[in-house]
Amino acid sequence: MIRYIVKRAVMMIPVILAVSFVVYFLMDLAPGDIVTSLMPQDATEHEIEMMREEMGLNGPLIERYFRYMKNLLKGDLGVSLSMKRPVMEVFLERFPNTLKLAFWSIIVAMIISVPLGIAAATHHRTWVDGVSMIASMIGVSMPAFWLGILLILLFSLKLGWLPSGGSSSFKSIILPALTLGTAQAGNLTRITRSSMLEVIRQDYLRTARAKGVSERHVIYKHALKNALIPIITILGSTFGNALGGAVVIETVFSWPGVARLTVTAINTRDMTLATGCIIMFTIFLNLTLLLVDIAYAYVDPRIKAQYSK
Amino acid sequence: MKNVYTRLLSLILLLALVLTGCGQPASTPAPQEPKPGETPAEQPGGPKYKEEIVIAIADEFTTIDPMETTSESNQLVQACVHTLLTNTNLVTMQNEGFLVESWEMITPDHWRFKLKPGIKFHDGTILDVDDVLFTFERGKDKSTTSAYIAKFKEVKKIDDLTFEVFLHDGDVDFNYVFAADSLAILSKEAFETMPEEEAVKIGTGAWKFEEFQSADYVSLVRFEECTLYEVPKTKRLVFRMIPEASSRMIALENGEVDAIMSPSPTDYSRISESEDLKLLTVTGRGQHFIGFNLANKNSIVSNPEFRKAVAYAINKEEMVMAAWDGYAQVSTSIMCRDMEYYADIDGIPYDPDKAKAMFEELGAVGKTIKLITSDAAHRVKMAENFQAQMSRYGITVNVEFVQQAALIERLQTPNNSEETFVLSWTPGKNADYMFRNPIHSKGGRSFYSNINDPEIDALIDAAAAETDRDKRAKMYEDLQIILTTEVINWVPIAQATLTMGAHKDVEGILLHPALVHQFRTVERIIE
Repeated sequence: MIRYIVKRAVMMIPVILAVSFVVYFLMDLAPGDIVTSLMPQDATEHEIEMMREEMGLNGPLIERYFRYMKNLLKGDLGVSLSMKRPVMEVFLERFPNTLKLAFWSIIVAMIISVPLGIAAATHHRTWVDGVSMIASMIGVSMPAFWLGILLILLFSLKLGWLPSGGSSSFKSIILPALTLGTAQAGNLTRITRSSMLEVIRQDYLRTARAKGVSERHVIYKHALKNALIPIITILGSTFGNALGGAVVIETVFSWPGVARLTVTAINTRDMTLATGCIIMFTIFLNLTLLLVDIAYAYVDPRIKAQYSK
Repeated sequence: MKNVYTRLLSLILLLALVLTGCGQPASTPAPQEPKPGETPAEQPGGPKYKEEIVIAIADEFTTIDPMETTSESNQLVQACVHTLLTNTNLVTMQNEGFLVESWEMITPDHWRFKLKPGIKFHDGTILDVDDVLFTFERGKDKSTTSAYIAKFKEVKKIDDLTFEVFLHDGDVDFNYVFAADSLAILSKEAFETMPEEEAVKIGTGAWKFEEFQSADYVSLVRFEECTLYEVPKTKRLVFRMIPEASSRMIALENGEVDAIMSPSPTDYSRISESEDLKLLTVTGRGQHFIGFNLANKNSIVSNPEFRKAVAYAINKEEMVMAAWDGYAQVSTSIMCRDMEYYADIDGIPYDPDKAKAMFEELGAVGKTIKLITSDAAHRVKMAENFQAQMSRYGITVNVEFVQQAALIERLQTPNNSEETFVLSWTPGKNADYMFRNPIHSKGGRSFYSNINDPEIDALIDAAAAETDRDKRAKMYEDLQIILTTEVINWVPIAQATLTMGAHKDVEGILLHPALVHQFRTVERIIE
């Protein structure tokens, strides 16, 4: 198992290299200049040149990229061109907020999707199944920003129960997590349903029923455990989707996370900040997928046995 | 299997606890949630004031150091904490002494300034000329200030409160240089006794820096010992960052914030018609225009008669309705209205018949021109309206929308093939700024029209050097007439209205035409 973990960790290196290369070069190829974005309209050529020099943007691209990678190996992601602060510092300041949002949104998604998926599977081809699938379709199709605004209007403006944005208290995360979680729940419901449908047709469940085990016991004790295994597998990618989806949510709810920061960095052509954030995202996503694989091995005895060999 | 699930569940719960704990420190004060029972500021015998005012801003605040950035959201907060030597009085719209008591132009290249006595910094030290000299020294190598400092040949300390500036070249508007937001005066002693990141927080303004939560809020507290201004009645001023306009509006309506920057134009009527809210407005200094690339000799836009025909063809009122829902003031001159030396010229009036005749005479009917602009909402609407208006004359306009950074790069490319563009120009504080950067061939970024006209350059230079006010006013009037009606590098469309939404009983917000609004005396009476 340790060998597997080390192997996966080593595999992350080319991924990070490829990502950094693509992001750094794409950012440079993109039309627009960070210096002219940051300087006021009345800036003179002298001021613009000085700013370019200050930011270290005067050398050839390849030279700048290698300098960047050399520093990256030392754990230095550079200094944000727009914020004039170390990228790592800015990232670490904001990342816990995005992580918190992604985590709670997955909890919300699980709370919605697992019961709904089970209900749809156990009432296959009935109105319950139909309603569950329509609900999941709505969840998948509804734009997150629109749902977010609707929730703010209801819970913040009309009822006054929850704040419309910010991150000052635990109450602040409820609406963003609910919005992001609802979008994730649609897919998870469909996967739970199909996974459950596959499991409940298995012989061992028929045997359990034949032995007189109650239906409730069959579903929750025997079927659900096995149906959840594929769901755990897709949790990693769902987590990645949640991080990506956080861009809109962080904007609508003024959530001080790293997703909004990355988009702002791309828009202002802050190359070091955008590249740094994307590299850190890549590392984190790889680690999440690794953790999911390890968790998968623990819950599925067949996989565990495979690793033991 | 049961144990495995129990472990997984425990792990998830543990993660939940950890994640709930991280991100914001537990002691972080909430930026603002309505506190119905809060104790108002003590004002014996007078009205009671809300202790905390929360302003929602759209863009991120990133630094309190005035020399680091020139973004509006930063300058807004910096202007509360720091003070300039001279600045625009937002009531009279004149350049006045803020930290300086008086100034004297001995000759255009020799100026004397006298500081106000007894001005206290937030660290308790008293402002003197050494602080001014220290600020200039620090600004030498900063991109936001180096161009200003480069004008100085020498700065001489006469006494603790008086200093003289000798310039390389004469500048009759030199007092405006000290009104540059990045040249706020910093405390020399603070920099000598504190780390730089702490020292930049020390200013002379009515508000002291308190706390900053990245991408969330920045809070200030009133400076009780302020000697420069009256101590604010509000105890705490919080700027909360809410990027989405509809979220800002909701936060205003439900009382989470007291005022919002830049509400969406679609919410203007909602705010105006509300019993609890009000819309604060000021005509912005930004001049929005349809620009032409005069250097593109392959295009019909290089013909001044065609440009004049376009100027006659555009119904600016219609464009203002389309782009700003009527919240903008139609321009007749390329110069911005609130500026000194603005001449109320007639410009080129809307005359569709004349435009039609001119287009036919020029053989422009049936031609196609291209227009480029950014994806900002008002520019998109301006471009679409221009396209619609020109189609009435049989001219097709192909519009391309790009990101702002890409737009600037395209227009700055030497010998580019662009023909027309929608852009805006927000000049600095004096008339020379208005013309030099966008028009003068050696000005700044030449604003993409590529005029390169030695006669116009000479007129700009002469106006800047003229010490006689009347003669100078005539020169700027001539410049406005020549550029607006003869050269026509831009067709000036309008100066958009800048807005803030606020609760009815919020007072003391002074809107700035270049967005650095003033919150020195902001207050809200609650009883």
